[in-house]
Amino acid sequence: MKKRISLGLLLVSFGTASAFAQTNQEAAALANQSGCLVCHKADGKLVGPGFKEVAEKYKDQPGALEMLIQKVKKGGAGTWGRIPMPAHPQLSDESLNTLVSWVLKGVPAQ
Amino acid sequence: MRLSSLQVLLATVYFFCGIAFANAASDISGTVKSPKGPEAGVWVIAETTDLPTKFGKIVVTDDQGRFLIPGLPSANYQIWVRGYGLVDSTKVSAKPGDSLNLKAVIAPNAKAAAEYYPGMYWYSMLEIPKVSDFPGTGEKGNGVPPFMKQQYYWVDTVKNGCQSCHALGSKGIREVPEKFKQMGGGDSFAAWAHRTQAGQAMPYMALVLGRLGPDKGLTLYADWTDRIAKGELPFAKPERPKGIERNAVYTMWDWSTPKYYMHDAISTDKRNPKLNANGLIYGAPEESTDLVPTLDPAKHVAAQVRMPYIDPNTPSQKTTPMGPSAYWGDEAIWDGHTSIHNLIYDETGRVWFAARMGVASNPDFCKAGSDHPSAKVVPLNESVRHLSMYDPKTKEWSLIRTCFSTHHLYFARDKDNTLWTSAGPPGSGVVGWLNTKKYLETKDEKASQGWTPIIVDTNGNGKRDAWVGPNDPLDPNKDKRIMAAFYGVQPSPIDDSIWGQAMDVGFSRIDQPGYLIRLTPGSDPSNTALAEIFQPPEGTFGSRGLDVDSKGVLWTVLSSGHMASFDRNKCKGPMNGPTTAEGKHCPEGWTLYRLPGPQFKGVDPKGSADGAYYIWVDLYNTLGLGKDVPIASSNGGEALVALVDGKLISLHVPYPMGFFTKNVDGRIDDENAGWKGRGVWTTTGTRAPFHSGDGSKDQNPKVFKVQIRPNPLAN
Repeated sequence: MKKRISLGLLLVSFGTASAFAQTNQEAAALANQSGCLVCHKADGKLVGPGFKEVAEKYKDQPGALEMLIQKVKKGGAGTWGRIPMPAHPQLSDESLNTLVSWVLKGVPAQ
Repeated sequence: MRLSSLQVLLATVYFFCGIAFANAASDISGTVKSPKGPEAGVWVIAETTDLPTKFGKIVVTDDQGRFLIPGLPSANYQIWVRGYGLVDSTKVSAKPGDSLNLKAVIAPNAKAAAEYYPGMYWYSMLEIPKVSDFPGTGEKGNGVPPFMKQQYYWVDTVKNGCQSCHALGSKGIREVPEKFKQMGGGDSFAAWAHRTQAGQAMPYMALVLGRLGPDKGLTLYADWTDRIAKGELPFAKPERPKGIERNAVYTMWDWSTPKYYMHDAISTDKRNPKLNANGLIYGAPEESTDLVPTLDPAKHVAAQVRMPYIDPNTPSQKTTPMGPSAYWGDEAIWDGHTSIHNLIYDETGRVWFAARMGVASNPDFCKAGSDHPSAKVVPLNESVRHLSMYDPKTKEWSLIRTCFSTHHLYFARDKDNTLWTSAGPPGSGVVGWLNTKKYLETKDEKASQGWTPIIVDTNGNGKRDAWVGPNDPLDPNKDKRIMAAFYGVQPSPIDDSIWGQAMDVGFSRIDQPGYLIRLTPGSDPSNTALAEIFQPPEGTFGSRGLDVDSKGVLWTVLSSGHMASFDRNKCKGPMNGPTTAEGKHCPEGWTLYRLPGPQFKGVDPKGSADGAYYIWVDLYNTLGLGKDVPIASSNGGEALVALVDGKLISLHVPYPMGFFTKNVDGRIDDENAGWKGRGVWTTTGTRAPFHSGDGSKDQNPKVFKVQIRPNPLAN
């Protein structure tokens, strides 16, 4: 029985990890295609803050996902300095969700 | 000094022409006077919309305030006077054959006069961080990034990063549009942040901004325009045209549309400027559109032809991220796929383009494992721009996927009509070429192209060996590769060498100096090409563009504010071996000419605030200033700057304000017609034609033709 549960968890874990890997890679590609990497990189400030700094700032904060989705969509300023972030009205809600979720996870590569 | 009889005759003719204003039926002539008397060295501008495309002509008054605008097509013209120390005169109507007494208007104050100064007089007011601010101490220090190690890194960035696309200092730039002020809530820093996010060039501007802090850069640009808005004026004043500068005739035609911009134009074959006499001028609209503009200068007709591309997945500029524009709002005005950067005529009148034909990922034959001889040496996984060719006779395109990226193009004078290319940024580390004879015979793009890494013969044995990498220490048994690529490119007219020029840190964004590079291809270039590299002398930097004169002397422009020549024959030391690895072995080969105009405060006064995009050598005296005269495209001076008898002359184009061009080429339409049968051609090269003039959505890119008469009243 114990073996069966372990195998089951392992399978779930494997399947989940695999699904995440696909999502993370897709999110990274989407970030590139959407121009996010023009102003942001994983670590440290470029024009805007590093993605990992964003993830750290909003770690475990309820509502952060939705708040940041709106910020990317509509633009904003002030949180990370004086340079405003432009609005991105061209991004779909699905893409925004993918991108911001990936950022909040700390932009894992795999 | 004794005058020859011919000189006496010419002087007599000139005297009487001047007195009588003996203009032909196609000329408009007259005088320009102000309350102070005749106005010498001011411009008289004629413009009409009566022709199929908007047309204009500009001349300069002589020392008695007389002018003659020659060779005007029949139309109704608006005529007015512009000049330093003046404000524009009221426009008057005239037709060819008329003689006019124009009244110049003295500028009521220094501010009004300064509105007509070239951009660099305003741009030189930009504060540059002090020498002691470098290397930077970062965001929590002095705001200058630590990778900015010396002041010249910063200067090269604000020139070769910012000024290479924009007429900085022109009215459209030195004033911040209301839209950005509103978006920034009255904070000029935020207004500049929005401005640098505006439009589809946002990704490139973000890259450059990142190099400037970014907060430090935005702070200094905001401070610059704030001071100007409060009334601060340029600390230097330009001089009016004098001497031979008054003999210039500028002719201009609108082409393309106000939403698109041009990178370059071409009129003929660099090797034979008689090719395509009176024929079409073609343009390169870079990222803005796939519609290649053409101009028929004889009929004054602007048209266009659409460039196709190979891969239907070739990305469009429409999807580029952007913030709202002060001129175009949220409209994405660029829709180009083909990224048409540069173009050149071949020996039969076909036009070859550096243009994008597909996605970046290369075909397999470019990559590791391929049997392509160049891929065996350096496999290439990606390329961002390729080649295309248009044959005006058949109206057919040839589309060529290269493995290497292309940027500028020039033909060699060899049996294969080899088309040598530059890559632009240094990342690829290779120089690529197309054997056009083979390509035209076989249409085999794979077999017709090749590329080589740039390998310096640091072991000094005179041949190409195994090499160490760019960041590896020298090995006495090996050569060394440098991770650079050509930006400018030019096959030498006197031997089989190919000269290139690699960009400095402000453009490349890598910690490596700019070089001139002499490539000797050898019998099997992928495996035999060897390079010599040369850094500009101490205190100068930022080489951009190059050309080679008929004696084999190199010419380039430096962002330190110089035109420069490099004569390899002057080099005293060995030209290969370990002492040549850094390219510092021949300072004696260089001669410097300071570009006209003011310098930024706190920056070495031996240089100038001017920046020039490229340089072109007039091998065949197409302009009329002499054989082998180098001509720089002065972006700060809004001029073509030419070196004549050891002195720089400035051919400033005063209208529309913000003249900004990237290169020229010269054509001889009729070698028996004296000055009228020849001239150099160029086009508006700013990314934002709507910044030109006073800043307007109505500004088309223009084609410019520049000619030099024997005197200011010649017709």
